[in-house]
Parts: sequence; C-alpha cells; structure tokens
Amino acid sequence: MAGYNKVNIIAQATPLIILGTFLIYPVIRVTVLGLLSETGMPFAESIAYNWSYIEFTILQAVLSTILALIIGLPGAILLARLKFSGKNLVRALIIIPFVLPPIVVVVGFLQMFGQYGIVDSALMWILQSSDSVLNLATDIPGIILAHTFYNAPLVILLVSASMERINPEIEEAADLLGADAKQRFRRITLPHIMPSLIASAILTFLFCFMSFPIVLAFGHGSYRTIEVQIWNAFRWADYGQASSLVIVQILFTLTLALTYVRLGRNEGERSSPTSSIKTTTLRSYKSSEIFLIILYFILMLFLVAGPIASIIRAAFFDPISKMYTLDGFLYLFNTDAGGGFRPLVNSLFYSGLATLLSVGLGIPLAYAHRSKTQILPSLASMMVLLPLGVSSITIAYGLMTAIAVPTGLNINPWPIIVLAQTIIGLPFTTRSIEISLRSIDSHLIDQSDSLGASSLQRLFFVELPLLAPGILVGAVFAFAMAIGEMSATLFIALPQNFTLAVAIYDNLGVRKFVEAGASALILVIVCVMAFLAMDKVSEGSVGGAL
Amino acid sequence: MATVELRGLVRVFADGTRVGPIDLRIEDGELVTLLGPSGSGKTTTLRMIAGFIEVDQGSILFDSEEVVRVPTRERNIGMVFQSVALFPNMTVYQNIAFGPDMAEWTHERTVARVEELADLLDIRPLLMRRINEISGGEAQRVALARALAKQPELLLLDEPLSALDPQLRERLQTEIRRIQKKLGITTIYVTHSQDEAFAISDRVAIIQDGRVVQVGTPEEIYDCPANEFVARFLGSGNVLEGVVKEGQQGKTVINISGVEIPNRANMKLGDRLKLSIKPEDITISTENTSNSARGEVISIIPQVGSFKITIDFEGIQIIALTYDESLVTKLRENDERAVYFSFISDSVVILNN
Amino acid sequence: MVIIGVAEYPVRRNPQILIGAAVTIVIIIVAWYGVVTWWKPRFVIYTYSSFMEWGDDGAEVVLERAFASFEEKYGIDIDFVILEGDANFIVSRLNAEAANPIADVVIGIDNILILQETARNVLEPYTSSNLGQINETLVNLLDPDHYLTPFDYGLVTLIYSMNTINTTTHPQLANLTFADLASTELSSALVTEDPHLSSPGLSFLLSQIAVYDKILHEDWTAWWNTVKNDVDVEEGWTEAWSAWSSDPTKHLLVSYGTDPAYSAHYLGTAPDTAIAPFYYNGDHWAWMQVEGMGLVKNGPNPQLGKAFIDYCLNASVQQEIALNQWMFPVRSDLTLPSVFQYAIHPDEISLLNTLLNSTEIASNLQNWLMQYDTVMTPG
Ligand SMILES: Nc1ncnc2c1ncn2[C@@H]1O[C@H](COP(=O)(O)OP(=O)(O)O)[C@@H](O)[C@H]1O
Ligand SMILES: [Mg+2]
Repeated sequence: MAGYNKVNIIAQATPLIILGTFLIYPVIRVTVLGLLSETGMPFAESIAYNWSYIEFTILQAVLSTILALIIGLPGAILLARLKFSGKNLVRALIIIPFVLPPIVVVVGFLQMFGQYGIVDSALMWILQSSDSVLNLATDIPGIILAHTFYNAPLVILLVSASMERINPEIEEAADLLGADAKQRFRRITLPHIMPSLIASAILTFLFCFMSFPIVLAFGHGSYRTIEVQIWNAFRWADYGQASSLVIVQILFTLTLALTYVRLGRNEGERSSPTSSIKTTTLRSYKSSEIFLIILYFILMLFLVAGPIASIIRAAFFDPISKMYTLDGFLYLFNTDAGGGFRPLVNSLFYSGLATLLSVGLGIPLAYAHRSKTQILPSLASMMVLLPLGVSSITIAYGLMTAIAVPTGLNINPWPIIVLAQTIIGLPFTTRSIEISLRSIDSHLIDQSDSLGASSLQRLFFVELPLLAPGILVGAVFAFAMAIGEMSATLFIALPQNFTLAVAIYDNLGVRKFVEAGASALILVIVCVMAFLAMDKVSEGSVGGAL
Repeated sequence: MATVELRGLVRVFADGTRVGPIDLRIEDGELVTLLGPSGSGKTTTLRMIAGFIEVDQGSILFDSEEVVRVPTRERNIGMVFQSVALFPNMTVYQNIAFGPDMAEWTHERTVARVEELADLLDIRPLLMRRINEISGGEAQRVALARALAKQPELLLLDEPLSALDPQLRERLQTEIRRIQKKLGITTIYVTHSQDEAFAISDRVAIIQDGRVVQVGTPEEIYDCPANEFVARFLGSGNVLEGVVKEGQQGKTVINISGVEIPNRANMKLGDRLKLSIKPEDITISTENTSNSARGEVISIIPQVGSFKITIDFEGIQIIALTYDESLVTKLRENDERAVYFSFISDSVVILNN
Repeated sequence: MVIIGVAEYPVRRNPQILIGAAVTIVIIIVAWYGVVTWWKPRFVIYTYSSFMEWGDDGAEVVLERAFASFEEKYGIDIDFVILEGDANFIVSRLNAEAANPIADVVIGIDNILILQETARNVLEPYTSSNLGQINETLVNLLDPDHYLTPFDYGLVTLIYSMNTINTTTHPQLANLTFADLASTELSSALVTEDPHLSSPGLSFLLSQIAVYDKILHEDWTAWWNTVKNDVDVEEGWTEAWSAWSSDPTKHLLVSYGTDPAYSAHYLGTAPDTAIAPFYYNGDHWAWMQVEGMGLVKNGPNPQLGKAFIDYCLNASVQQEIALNQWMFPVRSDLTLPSVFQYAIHPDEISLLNTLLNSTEIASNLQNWLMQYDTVMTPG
C-alpha cells in the first residue's frame, strides 16, 4: 500500500525493540529471577509481611486523591466559569507543580510547613513559643499534603477542560425548565465532568501509589509504601520480596493505567468546541461567595505557591543557624568531589540526552499507536504504559543487572542512568505526541503523498511541523521527569554520576539545608524556564501529556 | 496526459461495506464527474485511484499501465478535497510549490510555475500570506493551484466546492472548467450535486451503492435516465407507474392512471412498469381533455422564466413546468385546485426496473 | 501590484543537512562527555561514604599517604569507590554486579552483615598471610570462615553531649539501662539508625535484644513499643550524627565508643562527648563491631585483591585508622594517639556479642527485623 511500506514498519518497530530490550526484558528478568532465587522471602510470605505496607500505600493514595479532588474541584469550576484577566497565565502556571521534581517539592514543603519553617515560625511568633509548634512536613500529613500539592492542579486542569466543553445551551435549557443552581450542577454539570473527575482521580491515585521520594523523606522509614519497600528489599538484596512486591504493584497500576487510557480515548472523541463557554465575572457573585472564592485563592496560594516560593528562601536561609547565607551557591560552584558542580552538569547532560531520546522514541511510538497493523498499537501502548506502573527502582535494578553488568557499563554507568530517565519520562512524552498526532488532518498526509513527498519529506515538511507543539510539550515533560528523577539514579549511580536530585536527597539527609535548597532552586528555575519556553511556543496545549 | 481505466474495482471495508465493482474509462483530457448521493462510494473510488487506500479487486490503468501497486507519490496525480487540506504551517507560495519542490524542480522553474498558476487563478497577491489569512474561496483556488503545480497527468477533485456558498461555487465551477480545458488535463470530479455535474462535465457517471449505473453526457443522462434511481436522483423526472392494458384496435397500451401511451416496450398484458417524464414535457390545463388525468395543485413556485407546479396525483407528487402565466392565474383562482395533465408518448422514458 | 523577485520566494531545504548537523552535534557532545568521564579502573575498592573521612586531612590525602607504596609497587591506581549509603547497599550492589563485578575488594562489611547469605554469596574466602598480626579473637568474632579479614573495630554504644546533659543532671547516665532510656525525656532525645540500612543501627537493635532476651528474659519488643513514638530513627549514621549535632532537642546518639576521643581531638581539650554504656548485673555492656575487608568473588584482579588485603594489615594503613576512621586498628602493636585515652576500649567492658552467638543471629535476624518493623510501623 502506498505510503505504508516496510520502512515505516521498521521505523515503528525499532522503539518497540528498544523498549523490549531496555524495559521489558530487564524488568521481567529481574522479577522472574527474584521469584526463583533462593535468597529472600517467597511470594506468599512477602505479601503477608508487607500487608500493612500495601494497606498503607492504598490508604495514603486514597486520602491524597480525596483531598486533591476536594481542593481541585472548586478550582476547576472557578477556572472554567470565572472570568478574570490573566486566566490563561493561571492555566499555564497551574501545571508547574507537576513538572517539579518530587525531591524539590520536599525541600519546599520542609521550608514552608516543616519544623521552623515559614508556617511554624509564624505560629511560634504568634504563640510566643520558643519551641516548634506545628510540623506538617512529616509523617502522614506531610505525605498527603505534598501529594495534594502535586495533584490538585492536575484535577483542576483536567476537570476545568472538560467543564469548558459543556454546551452552554444545555444548561440554559435546564435553567428555563426551572432547575436551580444545585440541581443544574447535579443533573447536568456533574454527569458531564464525571469522566474527567474519574480520570483525574485515577491519575492522582496512580501517582500517589507510586510516589517514592516524598514518602521516603516524610515517612522517615516508618511510613512505607510498596515502592519504598521495593527499594528497601533491593537494598537488603532480598530479591524474592522485591519481585513479589513488583508483581503486586504492576497488577495494581496497570489496571488503573489501562482504565485511564480507555477513559481518555472516549473523552477525546466527544470533545466539542469550547468557544461559547459561559463565564461570569466575580462581581456577579454574592458577597459570601466572593469571600469563599477569595479564601480558596488564599488556600491555593498557601498550598501551591507557598512551597515553591519557599524554595527560594530555602536556598538562602539556614534553619539550623537561623541565618541567611550564600553557602548553598558556593556549593553549587564547588567543583571538588563533594561539591555540587558535577551533579549540576550531570543533571543537565543526562536529562538533556534523555529528552532527546524520549522524543526520538516517542515520535515513532506515537505513530505505532495508529498503525494499521493489528498488533503494533496495543503493543506500543502497553510498553509505554509500563513505566507508569513499574517502580523506577525495579527499572533501575533491571537495567543494572540485565544491561549494565553484562556489558561492563557498571564501571561508568551514565548511559544506564540516561536510559532509565528516558524510560521513566516516556509515557508522558509519547502521550502528548500521540494526542497531537491524532489531531492532524489525515487529508494533509494524503495531500503530501499525492504531491509526491517521500515518507521522510512528509515527516519533515508536514508532520513534524504540525506535531511541534506536542513534541515540545512532551520534551518538557521528559526533561522535567529526567532531571527530577532520583530513585533510579540513586541506585545506578557511582559517586561521579550523581545528579542534583540525588545531591538534594543526600544533603537533606545530613541536614545541609541550604545546599539542598540552592540545588532545589536551580532545578525549579530550570524546569520553570523550560516550561515557560514551551508554553510560549505551544500556545497553551500544555495539558496534552496528561 | 493520460487515459484512466477502472476495471472491476472493488474495495471492501473492515465492517463489510463494499464499494464496486466499478468499471469506467476516462479519455485523455476529459472531465468525468462521479455523481451520486453521499455514501454511494464516490470518495472511495477516488481514493483508490489516488492510491490512498488499498484496492481489493480489479485494476486501475493509467495509459494502459497497471498502477494498483504504484505508491501514491509515483502516480503523478493532483488532488483537491472539500476540506482544502492546505498545509497550515506553510505560506500560500510554499503550499503551491510543495509538489515541484518534492519533484526537485529548480527554484526558477518552480517560481515560474507558481506564478503562472497564481495568475491563472487570480491569487497572485496572496502568495506570501499564511493559510489562516485567506478566505474559503481563495483557499480552494490555492488548493487547485497546488494540485496542478507539478503538472500532474490526472486531476482528482472530491467535492471541492461543497463548502462554499452558491455564488462562489458557480464562479469556481466555471473557472475549474476553464482551466481544465486550457490545460487539457484528464480530470475526475466528484460531486453529489446534479447541477454542478451537468455544468462542468464532458461525461457524467452516476454511482449508486458503489456501482456505476449510467455513464453519458449530461444531455444523454438527462434525457434518458437509465433507471428509477437515476431519474429520481436527478430530480429531472417524475417517476410514474403504468400498467399494460387492452387498447383500441387490439393493440395494447400503457395506461398511466388514465393517460394512455402506446406500448412501445412490447410488454405483456397486465405488466406493471415505471416511467419517467420530465417536468417540461407535462402539459397541464384547467379543462379535462381526452387522455388526461386529474390531479390537485399543491403549490405553485415561480422560477426564473417559468413556474414550477407541484401536483398531487393519487398520492404521488408530480412536478410540471409551465411558461403560461394566464394558466397560472387560472390555477390560482381555481378553488377546487383541480388540474388536468397529459403528456405526449415520445417524451416518456420507460425505465428498466 | 508588487512584483516579487525569484530570489524572494523561500527555497525549501531538504532536512538531511539539518538532521545530519543536529546528530553530529549530539554525537560530539556525548562523545566528549564520554571521553571526559572515561574511567577505566585498574583496581576498585568499594567502601561506604565516611571511609577515612573524619581526620584533619580528609580521605583523599590519607588514602594517598597510606597506599602510595602499594600503588607504586604494583604500578596501579587504586580507585576507592564510595558507595552512597551503608554497607548493606554495598552488598546489594555487589549482588547486582555478581555476574561481572568491577570491584576487587570491599571494605566495611561487619560482623553482623557477614552472617547474611547475600554477603557471603558475593565474597571469596581468603586467609591473609598477615593474619598473624591480629588478635585471633577479632578474627573469630568477625568471621571464622575468613570471608572477611578484620580491618578495624570499635564499640557501638550511646554517646551524649556533656554540654546539654550530664551525670549531674541525669545521674542515670552513669549506669544506664534500657528502662531509663524509655522515659519520655530520654527517648525523645535519642537518635538512632535504621537497623535495615545501617550497621550501628543494627548493632543497637541486637544490643537491646541481647539485654532483654539474655539478661532480663523479657520480651524485647516491649521496649520499642514504649519508645517508638519518641525515638528518632535516621536512615544512616551520617544522617543520625547530623540530627544529633544540629537539633538542640537531641542529646543521645547511637554511635561509637571512640567519639570522646574524636571530641577531644577536635576541641583540643577534654572531650565534651561522653559515653553511656548500658549497665546490667554490675557490668557495663556494649556491642562490638568489627569491620572487615573481603575479596570480591570473581573480581577482575584476584591476586591484586589479596595483596591489597595483606597490605591493609600493614602499619602504614593501620596507623591511619585511629585519627581518620576513629576506630581501633586491628593491629595491637601500634601505639594509639593520646586522645584515645578518652575512648572506651572493648577490653574495658563486657561485650553484648558474647550473649548472642553468631548462629543464633544468623537464623533469627530476619525474624527480629520483621518484629521490629511490626512494632515500629505506625497504625
Ligand atoms: N474507512 C471506512 N470504513 C468503513 N466503511 C467506510 C469507510 N469509508 C467509507 N465507508 C463506507 O463506504 C461507503 C462509501 O463511502 P464514500 O466513498 O465516502 O461515499 P461518498 O464519497 O460517495 O459519499 C459508505 O457506506 C461509507 O459508510
Ligand atoms: Mg465523499
């Protein structure tokens, strides 16, 4: 058939082979070998032993999801319905938490809500206490708040987007038929946004279920999720236990991920124009409502903007000596063995490379999704979903044992780190490219064929320019994921391979707070800059990767 | 330039929908229109010719050469869709120059060609604009120019004008025809509009349910619709039912509810058959004459130079045209709305099933 | 009408050149990074993060000083690869690399960790020819099977900063029991380490089990139940040390019996850090930790590895241990620096190790850790 030849199939099969080699094979190998190995706990015993951790994983994910929904839903409604200037800016900014590395969020939370943090200091001053009064950045409140910080914006974005697709005439009709605001919400708005609510709930649950750095930092080793237990099991060389947990995790997450993707597909097909969305200005609300709205904004400012802004303070303020200092930045420019310069360079280099790879793999993978052959699309989506559902530590350990060790790359394992980072960001990259690919008019492709373009020419002159926004969004997500990746890197890296994210974790452990803060600030700046650049170019199609 | 021949062309979709077999020959420099209601398989046929979709059976010959296995980009065709499908990331110039660029023409030759077409289509001032800066009509011209730029041997147009308003559509019809004749390019034109098809084509192929049911010049088809479907689709004919009855002098006649015409078709006594009569061939009057039938006027709509009169006849609607204003006045004054109509037997087309 | 010249129309460039350029640039950068970080080690020693790091000169200088003659003799560079985390993590990495190890020797596996199969699986037994220099009890305490050769040793015990608490304010510190420690005041001032991830943390857990199981004959988990909400369990010793030294509410730390010596050396005066060994049945007790070096199984340079282990028992290496590693050198013939008068030597104290024999530890360790987890997991 025209335009669909062997070259195409090869181009689409290549990333699948790469993923097969660097993801499927290592993960399956490490899981199977773990189960077969004599060392460590067998499956049943592992499950029994870890039962309370499995329960805790689900519990904290459920609580985080509920809180994210509760906090996100009003925001979604406001974003969809309230007319205010700078709305597009808010919409763009609101996804920033999502691109911030978890370990950076930990720093921000410690500084904002932690012991002697901003909130604590304020309370100490109010209560005239010399001891710490309130430490929210620890244990379950810390874990759940941080997860909410991450995911409430997600809920806001997904739900408000779906809300903007409601045909206003339906609501007007209901209005005419005498439905009051509450009934309208229950009968019309709620059913309409339900799929997006469910989708964002699933996504939130998934992220919280897999969350690692946040639980590790705030759980202090006593609150452990499955992911943390997998990490521990690998560290204790208890492969039986690790494999058992990996299996439990995969079963759980892949079910969720598949459900999510199903939902997403249906949602996409139903979308209709958003032009006639009904919005109202703040002035048309009752004063009690205005009060609530303002209260909500303050809450969001506190919860979302607060931690980000406090990272700036964390970079300069040493909570131990209670003094402002530039030591954090001296650390970043310290080129010695323990200094921050090497990790900074590593971070930029690895994540830059991982971004390129992600895009390079993501484009053919997105194409494979709409391949006309029977098997390619499902194979592609399965492989792309897998990193969402497999712990990054498993991927790291799999890559180590299956790829690095046999090839001797464990001597200098930076390519393995880049690979791990690529794989972990790939679901987001591919999804955003795939969505943008779906929106290309197939007639354009036909046209370029009929005008005599070869596949390569078509790709470069027609498809890539049209995909550019999606690719860009995907690239930024890949970059953010890669530069923020900590657990896999921690596992694979020798000291010369440490990245800033790992360095932050290290510094936090030994209470070098300004060093951690300054590194976190650099990561925030890099991520936000990448994000803003992308947002400018891609004109607001940022939600795509979700 | 090329002749195109379709032989038993069949496409079966995954859900079992079948288009074809289609047999059709298009002569060099000819403009043939595929005319049929939507869903009849016009686009599918065109896309098979273009090579966008696979052919399940049959063959496509360009100048007697089989092209079914030839990829689209080597078939040297130009194509225009209803949804223009201009490349949004390029300027008008870049769109038109796309074909020549892919064929690696020299820059000078490309520019000359683009300018030539731009002049022909009157879009010279638009060349440096972006696609979102031109109107719908202009976009169609650009799309046409783009399709023609690399001098294709075959031009395929799939309802290129359907999205435009009637005036613009008519203007562009004439223009397409003018340019097609000037360039002498073999063209297959797809439309569901009879007017458009008749206005533009050398020959028209009527497609019904994935098959060509009639091919001919517009006049042939108009005068002699091959079957009831064609007659009804063209809207040109009133389709009536007749019965073969015993007439005078031992001859059989076809009786169409009272109006009798000779049994030209040599049908047997008692046979039922369908007939098509063009509106302008129906004579109406307010008086009952011999060999006429009685009906009731439903509506009288003035048209350019004539009146279109819809008559209810035993539950069947018949359309007649008249130029007689006094008759119309009489009809309008007639409270009973009764009207008598007849027709001469030569103007009746007996439809084969 | 504006006439546009031929040259003003854009020319479409084929992408090959652009792709080629981009690919070349990426390849150059990657290759450059690859070359810059190219690191083909001749001889790798795995060790943990604070190895020889606590002296005046820093690890780099010390290691250079101690191993220069070895490097010269064999014409190699020794790469001390400091793995993040504790010895557990090293064992885990060695397991991951078992098929193709890059390290030849590992330093830092102690007398508890070696009891685990995962550690023994990655090591090759080796009996050093210099073993005669070492007290045999140390060898046997560490590993009679010679998977490990002793490198240094010390006592794991509680330390406190005399600036914040002392035997006047808290007389119980002189003869401390776990029961004393369970009071809210002391338990919330205590910092220890995760027994899963840190060897002093595990030593402390075993100390507690030994006391409750063998001396008091009580259920050891009860004590943890009492303190679990107050005690600060940090991930590793380094983290615990930072917590203890920077948090004004933390006074007690599970650490080493040599810390007063370190304190004295650091201050140049008498130490401000004191030891609070446990006191039962009229004796002071502490846990003895022996850190060993092991030959990595299937390592790339086994002969060199053996030579290295032998060399580490030489005075030139052993004499650096006291002031840089703040442990006791395994060679008893060396004179210790004067600040070590403040350190508590294993000979001056009863060893809790004697209460739990190694087979008992080996067979129960997993169970104990699980029980510990059950107690410590909230909810
Ligand atoms: N991709 C497809 N899959 C299944 N059926 C199709 C597909 N494309 C077209 N059809 C069916 O084939 C028939 C002909 O369609 P088409 O060629 O588009 O008609 P036309 O262009 O005459 O309106 C229709 O019944 C249509 O539903
Ligand atoms: Mg069509």
